[in-house]
Amino acid sequence: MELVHDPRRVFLNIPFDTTYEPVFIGLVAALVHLGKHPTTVLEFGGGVEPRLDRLLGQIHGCGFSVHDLSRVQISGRGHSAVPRFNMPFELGLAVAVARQPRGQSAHAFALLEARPFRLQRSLSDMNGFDPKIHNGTRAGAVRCMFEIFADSAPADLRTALRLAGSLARVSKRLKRVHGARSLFSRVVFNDLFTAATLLREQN
Amino acid sequence: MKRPAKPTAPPLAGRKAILYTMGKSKTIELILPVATPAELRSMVKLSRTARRRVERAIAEAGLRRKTS
Repeated sequence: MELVHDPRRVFLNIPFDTTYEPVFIGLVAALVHLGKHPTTVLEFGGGVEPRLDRLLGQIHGCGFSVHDLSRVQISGRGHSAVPRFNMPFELGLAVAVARQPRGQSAHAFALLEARPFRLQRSLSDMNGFDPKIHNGTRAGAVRCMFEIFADSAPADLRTALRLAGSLARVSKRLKRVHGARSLFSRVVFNDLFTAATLLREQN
Repeated sequence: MKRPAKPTAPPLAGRKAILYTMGKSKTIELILPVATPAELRSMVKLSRTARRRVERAIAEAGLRRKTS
């Protein structure tokens, strides 16, 4: 099922690692501060459509996508260790959607990395698209979103950083309430997004 | 006349804005691609229980008094 296209919606193609949570919180807080609606594949749920169709529908439904390639690396140990292809694959889908003729699509994308010049080695096909560098930190993630989106909304970096700090505190409570080890589940993400909007309203 | 503490005009965010182009007698319709916090919150389908759960988490984090 294809979502109705909404230019305010931003698709986040990110690694679902617990060590990535500070960056994730920074991204969600900054996007909410900037009047954007962050979405992820976590919201897919278990539909009857193939995962690829749902993924494409999700990307088509978003005006923008952000792809973090900082965890494109070997995952697992021993014989079960495999390279992580999902994130570059989803970037490829977004690039294809963005390059459709005008009128068929209104999609744009941006790249994130933790370290400068790493992307040039891991995915040289994207040379010419400079990634924003977040250094693996919450504040870095907020700054990256400001570099990408601050032109489109009234924005204040200090308020957004404060919102990200508050959201980090609330996220710990939410994980405890749900008995979850990480933020990367549908219900926890929904609560996190709602918490961000409520905190944004009171600021 | 006293100025209101909050602006009374609706925010431009996410609304249709008419831009008048300089030197040309036509208008361009543009939807600003941002939403207000309230609009963002309405994008999540949230039950009353879920909303209360989030409110409580915020309150327990010491960021706001629980309202319900």
